[in-house]
Order: sequence, then structure tokens, then C-alpha cells
Amino acid sequence: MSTQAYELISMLMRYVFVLIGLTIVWRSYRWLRRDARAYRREMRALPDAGLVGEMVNLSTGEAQPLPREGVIGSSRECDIRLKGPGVERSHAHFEFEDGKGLKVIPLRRANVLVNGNALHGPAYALHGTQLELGGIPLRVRLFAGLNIPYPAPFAEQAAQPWEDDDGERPAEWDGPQQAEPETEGEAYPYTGYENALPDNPPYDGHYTPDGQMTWQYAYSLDDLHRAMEQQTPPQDQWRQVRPTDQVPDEEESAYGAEHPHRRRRRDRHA
Amino acid sequence: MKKLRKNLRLITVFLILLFVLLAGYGAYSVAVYGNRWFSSSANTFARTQKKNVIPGDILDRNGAVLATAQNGKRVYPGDTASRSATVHAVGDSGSNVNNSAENFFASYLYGFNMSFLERLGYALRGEEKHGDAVRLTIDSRLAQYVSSVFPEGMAGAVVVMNYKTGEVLTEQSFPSFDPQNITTAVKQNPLKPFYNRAIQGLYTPGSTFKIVTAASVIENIPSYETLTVTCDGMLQLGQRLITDAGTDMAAGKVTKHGELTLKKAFTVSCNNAFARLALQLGDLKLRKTAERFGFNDNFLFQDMVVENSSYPTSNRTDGEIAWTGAGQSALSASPLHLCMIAACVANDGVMMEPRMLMSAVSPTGYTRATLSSRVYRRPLSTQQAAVLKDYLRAVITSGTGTAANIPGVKVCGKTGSAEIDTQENTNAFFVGFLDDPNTPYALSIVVENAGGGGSVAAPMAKQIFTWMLKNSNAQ
Amino acid sequence: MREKSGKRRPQPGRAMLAAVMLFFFLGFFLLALNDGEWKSFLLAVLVPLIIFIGTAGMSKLFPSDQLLLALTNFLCALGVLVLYRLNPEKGMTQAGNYGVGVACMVACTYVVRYVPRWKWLTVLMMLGSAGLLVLPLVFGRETNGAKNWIYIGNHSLQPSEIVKLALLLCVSWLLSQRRFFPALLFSGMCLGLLMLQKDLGTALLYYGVALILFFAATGSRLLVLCGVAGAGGGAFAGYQMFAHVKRRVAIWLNPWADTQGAGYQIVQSLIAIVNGGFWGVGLGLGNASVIPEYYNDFIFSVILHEFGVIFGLIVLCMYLFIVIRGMMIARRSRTVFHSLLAAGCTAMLALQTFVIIGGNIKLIPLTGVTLPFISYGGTSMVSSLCVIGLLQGVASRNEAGVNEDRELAMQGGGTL
Repeated sequence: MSTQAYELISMLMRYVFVLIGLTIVWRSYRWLRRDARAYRREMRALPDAGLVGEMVNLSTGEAQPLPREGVIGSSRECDIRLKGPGVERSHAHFEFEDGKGLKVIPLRRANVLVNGNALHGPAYALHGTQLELGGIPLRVRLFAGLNIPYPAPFAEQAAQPWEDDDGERPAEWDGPQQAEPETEGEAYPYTGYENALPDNPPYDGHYTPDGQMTWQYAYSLDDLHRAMEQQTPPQDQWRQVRPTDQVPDEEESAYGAEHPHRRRRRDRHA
Repeated sequence: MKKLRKNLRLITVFLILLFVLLAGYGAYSVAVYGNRWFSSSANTFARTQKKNVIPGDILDRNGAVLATAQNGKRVYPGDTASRSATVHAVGDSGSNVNNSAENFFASYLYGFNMSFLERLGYALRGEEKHGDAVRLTIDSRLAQYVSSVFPEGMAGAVVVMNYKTGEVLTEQSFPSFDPQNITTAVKQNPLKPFYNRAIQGLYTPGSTFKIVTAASVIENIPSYETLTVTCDGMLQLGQRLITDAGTDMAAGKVTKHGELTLKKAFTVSCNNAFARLALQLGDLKLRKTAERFGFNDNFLFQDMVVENSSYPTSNRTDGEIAWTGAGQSALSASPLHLCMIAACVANDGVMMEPRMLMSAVSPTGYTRATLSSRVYRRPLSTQQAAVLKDYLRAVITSGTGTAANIPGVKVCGKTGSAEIDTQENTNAFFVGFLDDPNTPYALSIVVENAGGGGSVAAPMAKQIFTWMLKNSNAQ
Repeated sequence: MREKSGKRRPQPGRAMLAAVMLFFFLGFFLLALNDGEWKSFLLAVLVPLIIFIGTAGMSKLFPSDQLLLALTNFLCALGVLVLYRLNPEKGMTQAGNYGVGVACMVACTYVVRYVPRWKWLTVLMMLGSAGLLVLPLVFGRETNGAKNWIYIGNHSLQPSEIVKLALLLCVSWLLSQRRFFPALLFSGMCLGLLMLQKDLGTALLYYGVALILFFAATGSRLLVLCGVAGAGGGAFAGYQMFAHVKRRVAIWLNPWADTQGAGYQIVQSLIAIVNGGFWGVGLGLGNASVIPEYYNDFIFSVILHEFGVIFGLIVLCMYLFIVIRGMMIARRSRTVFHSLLAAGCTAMLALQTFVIIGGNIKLIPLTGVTLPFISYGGTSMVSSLCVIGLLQGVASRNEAGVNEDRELAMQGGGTL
């Protein structure tokens, strides 16, 4: 091939190369945008994505979503925000550990009580554990289906709907499979706060890092009455995951009034 | 997690900014410095590619051929006088002269920016590639005349430009040489003929800088018309003594001007008065005015590489500030920049960017580039420019520049004589212009080691202006 | 409706993969036309094929981020193409490095995806990296003013490239455990050892990444101010202490002072860039090999020379998309450790790209850092691809998390 012909071909090809490059960049850009949009849509359809449960402020009745890891405190940047004179800006750190529960670590010798006992180091909270941070009582509520130690009564009962569905658990589900409920108890009704407390105070526990597990009754009657007097929460206070086919379309704005996260956030600012 | 995600958003913005900075700086430097880097003598790629192309002609503004190609090689038509008059603007085939048209317009001359279709055309026709013809704004007849006027054997530079459009009519450096016949005498000449003093030579501007000092006074002192300064001949500031031309301490002779207005001080070019004015203004105000005139700026003109002028910025004693006001001290400027300062006064305070490329036309007749005038800066208001023009006129009618006066023509100008420690004589300067819209020409003359500006450079200016008036129809 | 939210999220698609394959087919085919060797023709078929397997097949092997994979493959193959054009031998070696790098990438992805406990691994890595960084001080030979290579037989190895990964993993793990002091100690130790090796470019990189990680974990503005001030002080101290730093800064300020001597590299790089202009001189027509270290430090200038400034901006865009994608992965991650890890990996790639390209275009002084994915060199290629592997690991964890949530929601479960 002659040098001159090659030169011409190569000079023509540089435009082709730029064109192909631009195609790649354009398609990547478009895909990045699409992916971001799809992810946002998915997150709206799955309000519980990335969460392990919620934290109920027993003094106000307010429930805040509980991510896998985060900080509790009074600062605006905290994942779980509490307002009170005794609450530090960053009060405690929490982290969900598979198979162990919610690890709570008080920061800078902050005042944290677990089921009434002062905490000096990390401790694992389970479903129903009552924390007290700077004088504010909190209840930890964890989703069913999480891998947390037995017994975790609430979680077990909440697992019921799975069976109602098609009688089979999905393979990924790694909850307390050993605990098939023997009694034909009805699914735990989560329609309002007043129903959050069962007839019999449930077992509840937390355990210390050295594996020592302590059990005690979670509720006192005083707790119950105080909580009920102070506020009767609205019906949709509990975040329930709606089946996906009930999630309104993007156009109808799932961001609207129905979405519990959004509502809470707006209320806070109001 | 909330806080972490917020921080991550900030970090994302930071990282994106880094990339924007990269792309922005890269594109900026290629667009602005590209031609400068390309015309560097270290460009081996261009050197090898040039061999495959017949270089285009270089023409002057009237169409006279300054350089052409014969058998694919550069030749320079004309006689020795005409060749050596334009060699610094045109360049030589051996790249001895830096930043000449030969180097700086190489992308046109050697067809580097030929389109794909043009290349295809050459290939199909089976012809050798041919670069574009470049027409410069240089006037070769003027250049030859200037060469004949310039004192033989002296070093210096002459720049003539059109102050309305910024076209450079000639930029010459002396001593010059013949590009067709580079002898060893030329190579060994201690005055360095290859060196283009018009754009690369940095001179202490001497009294010509008083234009800038006067502009600063007019701008910063509202009562400049009634302002008077007393010149008692000598001003001792620390270790520095400020004196005037003609003062000879050994002989006990001291030039004294007495009570002076600004105009009078400018006309007689009194160092002492300008030193006092500079002290009164302060370094900062004077520097601001000078920087508006282009001192300390990075000149990035599209057609020319001009050495940057400097106004000293740090550690200054009163003596140094005072001498700066009179144009001495560590100031430096190229003859082209001095010409631009005079042109700015002439053009009602608007400084035009110097242009040298009139057009670049491909062999097939496609015009690839044409001249476009661009404003470089506006350092003066119209009123300030009018006042300064009046001062510059007074220099010619009744001051140091009377030797440049042409009866019936409004010649304006300023002389200068800069003392250099290593030289016997002063460098002679003249900057000036014709205040007439039909002949909008400004010039600057520098003659090294020659004596006073009024006695050496001003008569030359008169001759050049007279020639230009006579031949102005042809411009 | 169920399909709508349940469907898999969009993938970059075949068109992009086809574009990448076409690019390299044309590139190698053009080179083959030029030299007429069978090896070039073979590559014109093989490289697109490998890219196809690498991008489309890999996603079947492990859950991966398609965009990252496609862009990384493009850049790596671009490196092979440019190197093969300038020096066929180096091009072939680089292709081998690319293969090894991909294997390491997959390994890294699996490690991040499946390792549940990092405590002891981190301690091990910290000890190992200290050892690795000491090695060149003991056995190394000084090249280009820095003593950062070790030689085993015919092979050479740059430990700082491997320690990079350990730094990312260890510092993000320690920070996610809020163990600020050990994190500070470890990054300080790495930095100190690099300073002893006089490998200031890599030291700058480590410093920037550590600073960004600390900022991400704490969000403290004071820390950033201190960090920047410290960097300024360190740079000044380095300038005063090391002669070769002083020289490099002087070259950076005015490379044109000595175009044949000290400033030769950078001047030739700049000239090569402007010779290419906006559209380039054409593949195979340039003379970029006049730049010393064209295959390593100045490979971006070579790309600009032959493909043009516009194409250079396109390549820069690809790096930018990798960075944006990396930060997306970091923000979507559900645990602090993985989030920090992804952010650190992204910052590492971004800073490295900035430092070397900035050096090539005279934005900052030149440092001997490699351009990720493109520069010639086994260690560099492997470590860059490992960094992408770590990112892929985090991405696949995110994906798994979302899938789990989706499954739960589809089953109508997930109540309290």
C-alpha cells in the first residue's frame, strides 16, 4: 500500500474515530442518566430499600426509618434525629450486623441506656429493645426476614404473610427458619400504634459483646400508658411496604402525600 | 450514612471540577499557545513534514514577492537591500530568525491546515502538495527606505504601524543581513543580526515612558492643569541621585528648569519633575496605569510573538520609584510596544492589537485567513488622549523633538534617551505619530548607543514621515 | 405494573459494545494496512473479540456494572492499540498485562463481594504493605531520582502500586469503624515511606486519597483546611529538600528555557499535542516516539498527537464517566465501609488521571505517575484494574441488596 494512499485513509479515519468515540460517550451519558432515573424510581417503589426497621420515639410516638448503619443525635445530619436537652449532636452510632442484631455504640461517653441499663460499650439490640438516649426513650423495631438471633418474637410473627402468599419462602430469605410458629396466631396487625403492644409483654433482650444474653420484659404498664396518652399516632404511622402493584406511577407522584418518608420529612420542617 | 452521602456529593463535585480544569486548561492552552508551540524550533515533526510540501509565497501588502519557492526550496527574490530590509519580518530558510512569518505562519505556508478534500485533490491529480500564499501587512518599499535612513553600522529597531487598524507596516531590526547569503561575518557579528530587536529586544524606555507617567497624573490628580513642580536640578533620594540630561557633576554643570507645569515638564522632558510626580502618585497608581498600557501583561497577539514588557513589582525604594517616573530603573519594553503606546494616544486612547497577516490564500484560490482588526486595550479615555496628544504635539513644536517637525503637518511625538551603564552613549528613542486620519501612522525608533533622542532619532522620524506622506496613496 | 418496577434496570446495550468493537477493529486494521503484517490483522479480529467476551461474557460470570466494564475495556484496549502502533513488542506485552489485570479484577470483585469480616485481613494487609514499601529502600535501584522499583530476575515491580489497594481497603475499613487514629497512623506511615523512596507523585496521590477519605468519614472542614495547609507545607519542604523536585518545578515554570536539555520532555509533549491539533495527524502518521517515556508518562500526549484534541477530550470524558459512576456506586452503598471503599477507589483513579494528564499539558509539575489503564506497565495495569474490581465488588453488593429488597416487596413482605 502506497504511503500516500495510507496517509489519506488514516486522515479520513481520524474523523471516524472521533465519531465512534462520541457515540460511546453519548451512549454512556444517556445510560448514566437512565440508570439514575431507574434507580430513583426503584427506590420510590421500594420505600424500605436499604432499611432494617425503624426507631420509635416513645415520648412523641414518631417513628424514623432505620438504615443499616448510621448515627443517632440532634444534628441535622444524623440518620435518626432526636431533639432533647440531653441529646448530643452525635450521640450514638448503630450498625446492623447480620446474625447478631443492631449494634449500638455510644459516642464520646454519651448517656445511653439499653432496657434500663447504662451502656459502657457496644451492645446488640434486637427487635423490641428499648433504648434511652439522653433521656429520650426509643424502641427498636426490626423488619421480619432479617437474620437475627432467636428468639425474636416480633420478627417471627411478622413472617406470617410470606406463608400466606404461596406457602413457600424465597430462597434468599435467611430469617429464623427453624422457628415455625406452632400456634395459629393471626398475623400481627400493624395498623396503629395502640396495637403495637401485644397482650402479653413479649420477650425482649439485648446481649453484650462477650455473648452474655440478658432477658427481661420490655414494657412496663407505665410505659404503655404514657405512650398512649401522649399521642395516638395516625393510621399510617407504621411504615408498611405496600405490594408493588399498589405503588402509584411516577407521573402520579409517589412523592406525594402518601409516602410516609416524605410526610415525616415535611412535618419536621413545618 | 446521611452525612457520608452529603460529603460524597461534595467530593463528586470536587472531582468533576478537577476534570473540568484539565479539559479547560488543555483546550485553552492549545487554542492560545498552539501556534507559538508549533512554530518552535524544537518541532521535529513540522520539520520533517515541511520536506513533503512546496512552501507558499510570502508577499508584502502591495503584492511584491518577498519569498517564493524554486524546486521546492525557499528563495528570496530581489536585491540584497530589499532582502535584508524585510528579513526579520519574513524570516530565513535556516530558521536563524525566531518568530518570523516563515515560522509563525508555517501552518499556512506548509499546508498543515489543509483539509482532507484538498489532500485528496492533490493525490488524485498526482501533484506535489503546495502551501498557501501568505500576504503580510509589511510594506517592502517603506522597509527599504527605513534601511537607507538608519545610520550604518548601528544597532536598533524601527516599527511603523497603522494606529487605526493595528497593521504593522514595517518591523525592522538593525544590523540586518541577507537571507540568501549568510556569511560568517554575519554569524560572528557581535551585534547579533539574527536577533529581532523590534519584537524581542527589551529596552529601558527612557523618557518615552513619560507618556505613561503623564497619563497617570492626568488620571489620578484632578488639578493636573494648574499643578506645578519645581525642578532644582538635583534630587537626592537615598543613594540615587536624579538629574537631567546635560548635567555633568564633574564639570559642575547642572540643568535647572525651575517652576514647571505638567505640560512644560513633558515638553522639556524634565526628569526631576517627573521623579517628583511619580513620588506624588506613588508606586501603586503608576503601576496600575502602566499595567493598563500593557506592562507586565503576557502578550498573546494572534499574529506576532512580542516579548513581554515589565514594570518592577516589588521591593522598591523611593529613588527607584522616582527614576521609574522618568522612565529609567528596571523598566523594560520592546520597540513594538513603545509604538503601540504612541498609537494608543493617537487613536483616542484605544490600543489596537498589532497585526501582520493580511491574508492567506491557497493555490486553488480559497482564502483561509484574512486580516481582522482587534482592540487590545483601552487604557485612556478620549479626553485624556486628547490632552496627551496636545502634550506630544508641544514636544514637536517647542520641546525636545523640534527636529521631527514638518511644516504644515501635525506630527506628534516624544523623544527619549536612556542611560545604560555598560554603554558609552545613551540609547536614542523616538515615538510619534501623524495626527491626521488620512495618514494614521505611528512609529517608534530605537538607536542603540547613539546619543540623544532629539538629535539622532527625531530627524530620522522626520524623514520617514515625509516619505510616508509622499507615498501615502500607495498604502 | 409489577413488571415495571420488577424489570431489570437498563444496560448500556449492544450499540455501545458494537461501537467499542468497531473502533478497535478499524484501529488495528489501519495499522495492519500500514505495516502489512499478519500479526496486526490477527489483532484486528482478536481484540474486538476479547472485548466482546470481556464485556458481555463477564457480566454473566459475576454481577457487574456494565458501564464501568465497557469504559475500562475501551481504555485498556486503547492503550494496547497506541502502544502496538509505536512499538509492537510493547503492545503485545501490554495485551498480556491486560489479561492478567482482568483476572485480578475478577478476584478483587469476589473478595469485596463475599468477604464478611475484614478485621484480621486488614491487620494482615497493613503489615504486608509496610513490608512491601520497605523492600525497594533495601533492594531497589535509583531510577529518575526515585527509588521505587524492586527487581526480581528480569521482572520489575513497583510495590507502591500494590500498596495502593491495601491503603484503600485498610483506611476505609478503619474509618468505617471510627478508628481515626490507626487510620491516620497507617496512611502517615505509607506516606513517610514513599517520601523516603522520593516517589513524590505517588505520595501526592496517597495523600489526596487519604484526605478525601477522612473528609468523607468526618465531614470536618477544619480537617480539609489542615490537610491543604499540610500539603502546601509538605510541598514547600519537598521543594527545599530535594534537588530533583526543585528542578522539576523550574522545568514546569518555564520548559522553553532549555528545549534541548531539561525541558525536552515536556516541550516535546506540548509540541506533539499542537502538531496533532484538533483532529490529530492520523493513526500511524505521527512521530510521537520522539517524546522520551512516550509509552509511560506521556502516553496521553501520544493519543492527542495521533487522534487529536477532540478525541483527547472524549477520552477525558470516559475517565469522568468512570468517576461519576464510581461516586454513584459509593452513594448507593448501604454500609459505611463499602461506601468509603468505592469513594476511595474513585478518588484514586480521578487524582491519578488528573496528576499525570495535568503534568502532560503543563498544568502542574510533571510527576512519574502512570495513566490508569493506558500506560505501559504490568503493575500499573493490574493495580488500576484491581481498583475497578473493588468498585465492581461494591456495585454488585449494592445490586444484591436492591434485588433482596425487590424480592421482599414482590412477596408483599418486609413488614415489621
